[in-house]
Amino acid sequence: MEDAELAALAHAGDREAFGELVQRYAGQARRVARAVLANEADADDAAQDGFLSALRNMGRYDPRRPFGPWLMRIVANAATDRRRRQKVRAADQISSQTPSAGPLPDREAFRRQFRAALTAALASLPERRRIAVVLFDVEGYSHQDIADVLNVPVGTVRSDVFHARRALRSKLAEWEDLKEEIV
Amino acid sequence: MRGSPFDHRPDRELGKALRTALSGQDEAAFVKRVMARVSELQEGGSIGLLWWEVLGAWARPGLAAAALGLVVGAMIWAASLRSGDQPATALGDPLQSVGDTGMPAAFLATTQPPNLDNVLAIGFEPGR
Repeated sequence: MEDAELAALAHAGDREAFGELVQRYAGQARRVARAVLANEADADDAAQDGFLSALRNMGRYDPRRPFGPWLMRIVANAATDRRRRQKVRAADQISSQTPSAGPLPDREAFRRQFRAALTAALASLPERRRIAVVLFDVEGYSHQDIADVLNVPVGTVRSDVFHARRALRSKLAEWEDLKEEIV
Repeated sequence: MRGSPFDHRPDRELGKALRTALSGQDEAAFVKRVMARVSELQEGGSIGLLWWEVLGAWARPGLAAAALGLVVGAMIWAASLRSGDQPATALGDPLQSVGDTGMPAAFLATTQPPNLDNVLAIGFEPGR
């Protein structure tokens, strides 16, 4: 069943239809929220807020347009709102240690280290660039769809993706020799 | 595929790395949790509003009302400054005759409390 049909059923009170939408977009929503909020639990809370807000506002969804960007806009806003409301926490300092430091750890520990470094590199980017690069390179959204999500011109999205990629690529380059092992 | 920042197509390698880094654990548990929350809200009849959304909805009219109140308050204050030497309220009709009330007209027209000695003198005055 198409997203638009499920959305219409969910709007009419069909819980199963809404459940199907949640299943389809859970991964995507969590990743987008995670791009905004470094803490995984906070990101899940924000993704949940986004889904509930989408359900409340389902009547405003235009079925002629794709559902994903509409939902991701709500999720991104929920994550941004949550980040603004948050008091400053003593954030866990994510190590950006490179593989050359110390003895070679086992593969799983090494993978964790790489993820932490990449997450830290992502977190160092401005929020809009983070969302743009995740939607473009991870979720496969078009520049136009991302422009709709972020409410900015398409040219701005292209620029954001470019700058984000360049920053993340330089981080990935540190791990170049070992990427087959870890990615 | 090695991506370039200039490439208009998704960078698969970077995308895969980011997907791995950002994906949460146990997606099924997350879906279950969201649906449980939906049930709670539907049963409570409030698939509507979270407390901050209620506050948010009231914020704009609340600010407008506060601004209006401030303007009205400022106007009243300014008006009272302009007529500062006149009594704000009349305690009585200064034209009312003494005989109507049994009290001197000065007591009815003034904004000051009466002098206790004068009141007692009137009360104890022989023939009243």
